[in-house]
Amino acid sequence: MGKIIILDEQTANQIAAGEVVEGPASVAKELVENAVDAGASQVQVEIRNGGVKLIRVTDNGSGMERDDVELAFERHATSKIRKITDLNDIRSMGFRGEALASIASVSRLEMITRTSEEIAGVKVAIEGGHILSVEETGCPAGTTFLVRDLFFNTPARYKFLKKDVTEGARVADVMERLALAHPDVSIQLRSNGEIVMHTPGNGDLASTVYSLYGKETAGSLLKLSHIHEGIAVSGFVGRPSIARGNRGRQTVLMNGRFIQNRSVTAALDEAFKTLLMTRQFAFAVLVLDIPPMRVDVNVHPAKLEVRFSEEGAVFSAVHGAVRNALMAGSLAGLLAPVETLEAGKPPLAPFAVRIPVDGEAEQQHYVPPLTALPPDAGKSIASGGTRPEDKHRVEPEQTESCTDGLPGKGEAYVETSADKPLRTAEPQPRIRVATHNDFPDTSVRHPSFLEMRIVGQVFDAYLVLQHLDEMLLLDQHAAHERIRFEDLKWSLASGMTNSQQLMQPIRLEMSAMEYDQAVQSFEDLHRIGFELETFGRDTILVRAIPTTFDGGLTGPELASILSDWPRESNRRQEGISEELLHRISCKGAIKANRMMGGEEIRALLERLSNLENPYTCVHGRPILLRFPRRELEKRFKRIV
Amino acid sequence: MKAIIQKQQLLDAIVMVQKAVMQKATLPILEGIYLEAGEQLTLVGNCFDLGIACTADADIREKGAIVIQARMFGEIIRRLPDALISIETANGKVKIECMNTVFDIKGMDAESYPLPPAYQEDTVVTLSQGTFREMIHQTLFAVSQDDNRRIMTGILLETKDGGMSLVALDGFRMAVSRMLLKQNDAMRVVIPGRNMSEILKILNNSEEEVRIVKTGSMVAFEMKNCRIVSKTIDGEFMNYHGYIPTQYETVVVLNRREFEDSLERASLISSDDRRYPVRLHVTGDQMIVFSTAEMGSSKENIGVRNEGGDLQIGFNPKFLIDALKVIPDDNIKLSFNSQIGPAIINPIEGERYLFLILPVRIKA
Ligand SMILES: Nc1ncnc2c1ncn2[C@@H]1O[C@H](COP(=O)(O)OP(=O)(O)OP(=O)(O)O)[C@@H](O)[C@H]1O
Ligand SMILES: [Mg+2]
Repeated sequence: MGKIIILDEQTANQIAAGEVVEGPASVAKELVENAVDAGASQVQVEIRNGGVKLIRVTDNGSGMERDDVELAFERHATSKIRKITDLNDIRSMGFRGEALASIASVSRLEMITRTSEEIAGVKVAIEGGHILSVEETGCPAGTTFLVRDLFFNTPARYKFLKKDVTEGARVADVMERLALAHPDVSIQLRSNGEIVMHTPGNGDLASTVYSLYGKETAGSLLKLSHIHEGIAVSGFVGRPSIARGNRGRQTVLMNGRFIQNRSVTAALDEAFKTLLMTRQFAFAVLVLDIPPMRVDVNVHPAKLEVRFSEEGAVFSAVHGAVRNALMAGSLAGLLAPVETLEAGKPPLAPFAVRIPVDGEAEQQHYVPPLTALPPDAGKSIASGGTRPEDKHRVEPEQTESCTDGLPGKGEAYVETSADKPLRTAEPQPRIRVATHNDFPDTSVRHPSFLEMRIVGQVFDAYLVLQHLDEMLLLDQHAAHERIRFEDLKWSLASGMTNSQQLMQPIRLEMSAMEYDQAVQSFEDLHRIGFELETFGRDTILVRAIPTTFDGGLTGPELASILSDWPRESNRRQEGISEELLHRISCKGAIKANRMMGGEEIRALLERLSNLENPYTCVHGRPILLRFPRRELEKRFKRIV
Repeated sequence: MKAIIQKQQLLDAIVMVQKAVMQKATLPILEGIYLEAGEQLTLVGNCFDLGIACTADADIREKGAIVIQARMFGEIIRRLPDALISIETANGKVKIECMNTVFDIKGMDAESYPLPPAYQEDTVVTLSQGTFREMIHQTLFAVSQDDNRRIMTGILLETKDGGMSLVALDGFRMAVSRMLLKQNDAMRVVIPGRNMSEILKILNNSEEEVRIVKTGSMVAFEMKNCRIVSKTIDGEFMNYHGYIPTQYETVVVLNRREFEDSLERASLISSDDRRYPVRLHVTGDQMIVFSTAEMGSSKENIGVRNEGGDLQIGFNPKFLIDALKVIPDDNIKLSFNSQIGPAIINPIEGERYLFLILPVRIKA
């Protein structure tokens, strides 16, 4: 007996109506999703002329029973949900019973299907929504759709189709994302007879990425593994080096469906901020598992957009996941690329540890597979849990650290009480004495910097270094800028924004407009440790500067920072305008065009070794370029 | 030319003048040492900002002059045995002979060497090398490294009211070293700190005289075998007297060593690059030195003689240590006015030195 019923009217109405079919790509998407829903392990898609002439989708799924065949093309005919409450627990791709009806009404469609129980299959031919014929036929188990001449009966829509190549590229793009969403299904796409993609369907996301994007991308993946408030985030992000100028390689998958969601992309951008240049977008395959009850997938006709009941939690989950992966990735040393695709070696199972954080709900911390970390990485990151930033930070996701739970480290860092006097028995002076818990751990996080051999300096701007089998070039200005930026952030977070008084105030004379702008930033500047005063209507006196600065900020530099920066940029870190932090870090940093002595270089490397991120400057430009020995040997034609 | 000279004497002279030779110059001759056989053997290095001329006793057989690439010349002489060396020129070449070794190297034309100009003596100050040396030592550390404010990258040399002072300041602190001077011309010049540190290395710790001669935009330092000519920095040096308070709220007398040691200990727990302030808490006849840094915290009591009120104040410990290090006395006077006003370090008696250090306002 057939499985398909017609939804009752109320249910049908509550389901968002909409244009399902925009072009070949949406047809292919609906058909492949149906195949996946039908339990197919292999789906072959073939298009001609970008899919405008023909789209053929063949699957080895369940097939349809005879009784269901005609019903399947009726509107709101679905086997996937029965009543509106089912909408709250959608696990299948389809649920509206709308796709086939829509596609059939604007094309010449043929479907051949057979279940494994039946001996004979059925073949249906429909044109513009009218069934031309239904007949028995011999065929393999599974279903094949042939959609020809899309929009043949709606010239207005036909006109809107783009060039064949464009439509074809859209199909390929959708197929890529579907393939990522279903690594357990082998998806093949042929365009005009040529295979353009073919995924293994072995259930492994990394091999799917490899088959879609190639070796370089697959070799630059950082694995995600994080749970936050019941939202699990897995998948991969790519190292900054494989970022692109558009979002084409960002795929967000939620409960097996690829979606678009602003919070998710915002969280991704935020986590990559300062690692990427503006207008660059990270590679990402974000796999979100969210209890279906907490998502509304039914807000967009193509089911692309979703609405989360708690956007904030999703943001935190994604941000935390990506941030952790990046940290772990840089710890393992961008200098020694992490093998994410290590075949054969099963990674240690991730494990969760519960750490109660002062006044906060218990949170689960997932540890990424340990194979990605060098033996000493645990030491340096484990202490991340007690960094004072954690207590001061506003964004909730930053209270997490993926590595709090490394073996043997957990207990030591649970206690986060601060402000405890050293010896309580003694009469306490009024001066606050902080315990070491107030201060961040500055142990070495990137030991490779300490192992580097200093070869020299070129153009008074770049340091030449050697580490193991690599030659490295380091941009001295970018490096120093990053150091200053992290120092500033650190001092803000730890409350160590002390102010070195000046013998003579620095006078900043400015135009009335500049002055007005500058006065607006006073509060931020005070928090950083500047002490400023207005003097008349056009002069600002700087009486003290943050102790984090080695005096390396001159009057003109300060004036230029204050007077001409776009105040619209409202992003803030540690409660301070991010742009201001960037500018301050940049302005006082060692200039390119400065000779540096060995001592000075050594000190710079030492500082880099305990930065959070010593690999990109605050604007996302790289600090370090690597030239593996092999690369040089190749260029010198010593090897081929 | 031909001159015969003891190896060590020649080497000493080379090392001195080399300080003024450019390491990498566009004109090769600027990488050379000028050698002249006159009454004695004279060596000159000159890089425009700084020129150094040294004379050494030598047996001059034939007068003349030549320029030799400095680094190579230095290396050759350094490696020769400790014996008499003969330097002889012929057809633009230099023959260096010592015992069984002979070098024949290319020289450069002495005519085209830019010798430091002869100068007129505008004003002259004379003092002992030892005293001048100590005065430079006491002020050099406070010179600003910030090339954006050129005037502060120099040391002010000023004679006034029967004394001579050196003053250096970098915006956060100031060092003043003074001496009494019987006879003196009025002089006020600012000498680049970088040159002063080279001069410091050449001065010896003796009663031998050094004549300081101001001439136009140059200042010369004349010693027995050596003459140094330095450019001066133009511009108006800060009126440093204005920064020194005339009265104090809190004045403590304490042992310099004890204070320095305690600050050094307090700095042990912090790394250099993150400027953790140290807090001083003067209460009665005690001064507590606190520090908190990434590795922990420390606290230490120092006995002091307090001649004023109690006070809490923060400092960059390095600024205090730098000053304490160059003070020869056992006990010193430390004076304050407020948490944000400067601290002054003075001798208990007299005015031989004064260090002014701006504090750090500690938040929280
Ligand atoms: N390839 C297939 N194999 C087996 N059954 C299929 C296949 N394609 C469609 N069906 C059946 O046809 C029905 C209608 O498909 P259709 O795509 O129109 O609706 P849906 O998938 O249920 O919902 P949606 O409109 O959201 O895609 C499905 O519910 C399913 O039972
Ligand atoms: Mg469907």
